[in-house]
Amino acid sequence: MSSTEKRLLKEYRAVQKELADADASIKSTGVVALQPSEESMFKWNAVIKGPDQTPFADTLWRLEIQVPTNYPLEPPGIKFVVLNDTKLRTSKVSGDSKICYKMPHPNINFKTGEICLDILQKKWSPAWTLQSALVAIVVLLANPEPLSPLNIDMANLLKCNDTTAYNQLVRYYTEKYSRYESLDV
Amino acid sequence: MSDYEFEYETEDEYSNLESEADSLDDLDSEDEIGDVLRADSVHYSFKNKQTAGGLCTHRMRYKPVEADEIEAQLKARVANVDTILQLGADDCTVLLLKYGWNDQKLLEDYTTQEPESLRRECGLGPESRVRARLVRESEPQFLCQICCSDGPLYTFQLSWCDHRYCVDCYVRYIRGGQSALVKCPDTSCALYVRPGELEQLSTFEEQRVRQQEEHENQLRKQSVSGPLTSEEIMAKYQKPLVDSSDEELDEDQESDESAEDALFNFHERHIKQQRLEKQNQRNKILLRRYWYTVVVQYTKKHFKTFKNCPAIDCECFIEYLGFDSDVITSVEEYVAHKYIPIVQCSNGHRFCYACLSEDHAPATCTVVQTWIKTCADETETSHWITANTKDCPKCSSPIEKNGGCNHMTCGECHYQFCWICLGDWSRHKNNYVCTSFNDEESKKEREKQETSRVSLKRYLFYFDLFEIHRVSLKKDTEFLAKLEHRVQEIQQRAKVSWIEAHFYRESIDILLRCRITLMWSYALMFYFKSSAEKGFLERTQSNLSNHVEALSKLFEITPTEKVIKEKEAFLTKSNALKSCHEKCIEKFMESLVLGRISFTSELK
Repeated sequence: MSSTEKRLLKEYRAVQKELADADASIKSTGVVALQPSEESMFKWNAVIKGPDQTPFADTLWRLEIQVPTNYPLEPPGIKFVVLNDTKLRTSKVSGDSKICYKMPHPNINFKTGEICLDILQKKWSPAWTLQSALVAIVVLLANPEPLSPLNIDMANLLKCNDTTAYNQLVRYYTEKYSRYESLDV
Repeated sequence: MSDYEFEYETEDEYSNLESEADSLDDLDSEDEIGDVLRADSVHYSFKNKQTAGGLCTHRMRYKPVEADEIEAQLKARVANVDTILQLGADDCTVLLLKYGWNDQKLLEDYTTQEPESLRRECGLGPESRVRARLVRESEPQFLCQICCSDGPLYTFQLSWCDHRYCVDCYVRYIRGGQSALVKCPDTSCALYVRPGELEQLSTFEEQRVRQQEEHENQLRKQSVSGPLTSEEIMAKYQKPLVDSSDEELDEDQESDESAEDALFNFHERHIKQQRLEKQNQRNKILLRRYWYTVVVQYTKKHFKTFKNCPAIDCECFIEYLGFDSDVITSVEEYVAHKYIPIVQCSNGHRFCYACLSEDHAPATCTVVQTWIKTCADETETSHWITANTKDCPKCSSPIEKNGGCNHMTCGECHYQFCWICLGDWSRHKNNYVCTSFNDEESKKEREKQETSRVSLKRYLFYFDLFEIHRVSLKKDTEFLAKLEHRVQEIQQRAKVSWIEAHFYRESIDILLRCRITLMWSYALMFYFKSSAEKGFLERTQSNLSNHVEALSKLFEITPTEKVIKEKEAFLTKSNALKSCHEKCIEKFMESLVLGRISFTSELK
């Protein structure tokens, strides 16, 4: 077993252990689910919850993680799952978790779900884990950085200090592009 | 090996002007011209102070340096700062790296700011000391947070934090870093890895690799049974040698193929193997790799003073030392005066300091850029299209007439027209003689085609000459690749010393250089307006060309004995070529610098 696989296995165990203690994990970090996909150990799926006291609160998002073969020397590729399906709301309710498929945020590409976060690029260090990277993303949701935007419209609202419009816009997207699903990833 | 002695004077008159310490101080500042003349050789972009025609040449002073020398300079600067700050070389290195080698700013900040907070900002621990035994064996319950291997493992940590990781991970982590300043892997820790700490890791790693190699060697020895006869040993050692040289040739050919169309193709003047070994050695030892990264970062930051040789894999640097002129103070000005700052690195690669392409004298940088663009561009193709085709008057798709009558039917839109006047065919009433030949429009059309034809012809003429020399240059370069072997053969067969067989290599060197000069002089000629001066330069050029051909002919001699016999001829021919080459360059330079020649409109 390569050191990458070994490390991923250890991370998996650690995450499972923490998730079993479900309430605490969600409340403290916002990471709801994190596990490898069925086809590959180098592809993980995750669900995070928007931080409280932000317009993102009470909504969940799915993320896709692509782990490079020389992980943890290189950062994982993480992006939000974005669906361009306009009929999202009318699709069948199949669970009780409200999952949103759009991410209106200054540092996240609205169309592709790409995330602009320094620790996922230059400032990556092998001591980060997939879980801590996800926590960093949750923190990013609460603390947008409008000076290096991927979504210029959202960034401009913040630059003008128009928090009302920003919050309303986020609420609009989280309402319009959400559907209820069960949490199986 | 080095052949610049005959081209570049080593002038000692400038040496010892300044003390070592002064020069080290001023290395960084912009006003270093004249200060940094250290006790060793200074080279010039031109050989003579004055051309035969009396033009006083402004020369750029430079010095070929290798990474080791710059490393020594930087270490001396660290020591210099350390005498003031008294923090130890390790901390001073990190501080200087953090300050981009701006020691004035560092000293100022250090005296005005609180040392404690400055140290913290620069990623230094509370003390300057480097703790001993940073590499040690861990307890069995230790788990490396990066690779998740269980203990007992050899671990490494920095002096002033307790973030321990296994040696393998730490080494891989440091190797993965692009910059010389590498942080502790822990995300909350701001400490930088200092050279003194790295040294411990590096030494440990080195020892371990050596042990491993020894172990492998022992295993190999055990598998060999019985003593070997001398023949067997010979066979054993000769075989890999042959293999590797074959491989190298193959590689060379491959790279040649891939670079087939590149106009610049530095020919190798030094042995590839040696260079690779040097690189391997450096990459193996972490500490040496660290300092090399420091040097590269430093030269990139001071790109005005240092240029990395552009030849593939060459790691030499050129240090710019200013001009021996009152008129010219910068490389930009120098180039604007139509001079060409050709420099030569320690490995013998000659390149232009301004545009970093291979030696392109006598063509100026602008000419070279425009020429390359012209060659690569479709503009000349389109010239051909205008010269040989006409556009369909209706759908404007280009049509080449490949015989037949003047009644054209466009293949695209089926429009029928007359090839001569480009008018609608129906007007010709099935009469195959064009009646509207003197039509204004058709006249214009014909004139346009005429000028285009002349321009294309001119371009093709110079391009052909350029190509001929480029191809010969390539062949000669391939020849040079096999030269090492041939020189050896000459030595052995004729039982002469290496020095005596050296003429062969020198001759081909000068031949190659003249071919490059000829090649670019044709490109340059394309942009000259015809004048008496151009005719004069053309004569110089053809003179050089004749000399080149004369020497080139000698290389057709293949039997080794004969080559040795012809040594005299080689020497006279190559000497004649050398002086002819010098004169040729001087003449071109005079015409360019003194503005005796004007350029055509093709050169923007």
